[in-house]
Order: sequence, then C-alpha cells, then structure tokens
Amino acid sequence: MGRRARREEFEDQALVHLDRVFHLALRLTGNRTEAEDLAQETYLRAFTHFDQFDPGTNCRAWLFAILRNAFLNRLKRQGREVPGLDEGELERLGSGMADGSAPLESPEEELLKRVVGTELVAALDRLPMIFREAVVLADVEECSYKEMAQICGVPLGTVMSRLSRGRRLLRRALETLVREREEARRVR
Amino acid sequence: MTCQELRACLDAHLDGELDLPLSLAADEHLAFCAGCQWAYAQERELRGLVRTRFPREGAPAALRERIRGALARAEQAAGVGVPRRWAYWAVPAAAVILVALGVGLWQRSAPPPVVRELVAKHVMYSRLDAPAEIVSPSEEAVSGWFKGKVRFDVAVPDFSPSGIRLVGGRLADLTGRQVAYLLYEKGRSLISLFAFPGRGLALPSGEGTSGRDDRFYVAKVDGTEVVVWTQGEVAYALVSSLDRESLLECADTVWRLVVSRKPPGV
Repeated sequence: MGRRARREEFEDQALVHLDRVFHLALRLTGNRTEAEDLAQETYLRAFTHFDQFDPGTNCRAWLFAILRNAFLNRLKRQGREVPGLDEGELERLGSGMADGSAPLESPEEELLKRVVGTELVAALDRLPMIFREAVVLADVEECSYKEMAQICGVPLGTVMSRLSRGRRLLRRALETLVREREEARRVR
Repeated sequence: MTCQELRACLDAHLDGELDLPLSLAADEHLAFCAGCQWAYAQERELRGLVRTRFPREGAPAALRERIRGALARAEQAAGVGVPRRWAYWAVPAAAVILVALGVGLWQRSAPPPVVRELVAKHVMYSRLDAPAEIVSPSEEAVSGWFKGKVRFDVAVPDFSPSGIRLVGGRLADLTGRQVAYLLYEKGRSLISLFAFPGRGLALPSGEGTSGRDDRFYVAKVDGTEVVVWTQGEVAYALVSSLDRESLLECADTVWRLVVSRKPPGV
C-alpha cells in the first residue's frame, strides 16, 4: 500500500468515528480543550499502529482502547493519580450497594422523570473515572460488554460490576442534583 | 434463581448480555417476584434515561481538519509513516496497548456453548458476596457435604501449596444437570471448580489446544481462563481470572487426586 493510500484507508476507517472519539475524550477529561488534544493524540497513535488493526474487528472499540491508554498515560505524565488501580477504594465506593447481597435501595419514585439533560451530564461527570467510563461506554456509546472488556482490558466480570456500581452511583448523583435544584427554587 | 442471584445479574439481563439459560432463569424469577420486578423496572428507567436523553456532542468541525492536517504531516515527516516526534514513545505505547487489549481478547474463535455457560456461572458467582452453601476450609468436610446430594464422588483438592484457599462448595446446575461447585480464592480472585456427569454433553477435547498437555482443553473467554477435562464419568472445569499456567497446575492436582481416589481395578 502506498503511503497516501494508507492514509486514505485510515481516514475512511477511523475518522468516521471522530464524533464518538471526541465525546469519550470529553467525558474522560471533562474539558473541551483537553478533549480535542486527546482526540488528536488518539488518531496520531492509531495511525502509527494502523498495521496492527485487524480490519475484520471493530474500529471504534480499537480507537476507544487507544484513547483510554493515551488518557491514562497523560495522567501518569502529569503526575496525577491513575484511577482504577486501587481496588480497595473501589470496594469502599461500591460497598453496600452493588451486589445482590446488598440491602435494597428505595430510590424516590418519579424522581428520574424530573431530570434535565444538563443534570445527566453533571451527575455523570461526578463519578470516579472507571465507573464513569463504564456508564458512558455502555449507555451512551452502547458498547457490548465484550467490547468494554476489550477497551478497558479487564475481564467480563469486572465490566459487569463496574457498570452496575456506576449506574447506582449515577442514580445517587442524579437524585442529589435534582433535590438541590428543587430546594434552591423553593428558597427563592 | 434466588433474589440474590437475580440482583447480581440484573444489569446484564437488562443489557441482553446473559447467556440463554441464565436469561430464562432470570425471567422465570422475575415473573413471580414483585420486589425484583420493581428493582428491574427502576434500573430499566435509569438506563433508558441515559440512552435517550444524554446529550451526545459531536466533534467541532475544526478538529476534524486539524487531525487530517496532523495525519498528513505525520505521513510526510517519516518515510515509514512514524513521525519522529512520536517515535520515541511509540514503542512503549504499542506495548501498553497490546497488553491492554490482551492478545487473546481479539481472537474470534468461539468456544463451545457449555464452556461459555461455565464462564457465565463463574462470573455470576464471583459477584455474589457469599455464594457457598457449605463454607469450610476442610476438604473432608466439603467433600462429605456433597454425599447423597450428587451421584458421584466429589474430590476436593488441596491447592494450598499454590497459595489458593478453599472457601466451600454449593450445588449448581449446568444445562439441567446437577453440578458440584467448589470455590477457592487466591487474594481477590475466585477460582471455580465444577464437577458434573460428562455423559451426553458436547465437551471440547484437549487435543492440540493446551500445547503441552493433551489431557486438558484450555480457552480464554472474555479475559477468563477455562480448563476442561474428563476423567471417567465425571467432567471437570476450572474457571478463573488467574493465569493459564497456574490454572493448569491446579488441573494437574485435581487429576492426580481423582486418580488416587479410584479403587484399584476400576
């Protein structure tokens, strides 16, 4: 393949996913400028390793995996804490609410009906990274569990538990936001 | 399926990610359990809310052009397509990516349904806080508990030389047949050992799969290692996120234990 043909092939296969790549970058970084940089870095890395991409597989999942790694490397380079390594902390976050043995929660009926779109984004952005990415991949990007396992490099069981914890944390964050908004209005 | 088991796989059921037998069992439970129905409806509402109402922002048009420009420059800057600027970290980055993707994860060969079901069971049990019906560190006690409950002799191996601790056991089912299920743990990893009558099941054979040992069939399903083999009438399966070598070592221990327990001449 000539060099030009290789780039065209890459653009055809990979650049069509730019909207999704940018959106995942935005949810991971929480910052528009950083998300743009991260998306660009992802595409440059992917282009460099395009030979390793198996054309029969899912290009979007491949890009997401590269994006995630690029993001984690950035955190390391900046000396920021890399999430997901301290399983003990995750246990604490998830404790008493994730697994079948946990007591039943009783979320307020109808509360979800009063959520507005911006609150969904704000609530999600409050979640720790590994839970946030699980919810974004499953419910916003509609990835399968198998794709998520590939993207995050974890076994399927971990995908399941992160996702169910993530959804519970999201529900809790949404409830808090809606209550805060409604109380603020009452005070006024 | 109990309420506890249903709650452990509620999200997977909602997402259509359960294997058929588990999904049927979940539906059956939901049909008769109002509490779980309610929990299921709550989860469905939240999932639906995110799926339909979450604002999906597209990339700015300028970004697309910026990336295309960067790609063209990257192509020009290096004869082999690797821009110098990136080349110094491209090698470790590739290694990180390969590790993260896991070589086996991208394989597309499909393991037999019975293997996938074993993995699904293991994943479900690893999510329960207390899946064992008999909790005991004693091999004799756990083996004795199964007497009269299943129709075969349950060999309970001692993996403690490998740092693997016996948690206990329980009855489980596999496509309608009764299974003796033993739980072990190493650190935070669950090791599942299934023993069940092998007759009539389409079990995979070990030939040519594990490389050095034809007794065992090995596979990696979604990041989880599986070893399956048959000894006489009984089939065994070890499932864990431990590495393959450790699991094969365990399989060999079980094999030797089963051989030693057989009365002479049988």
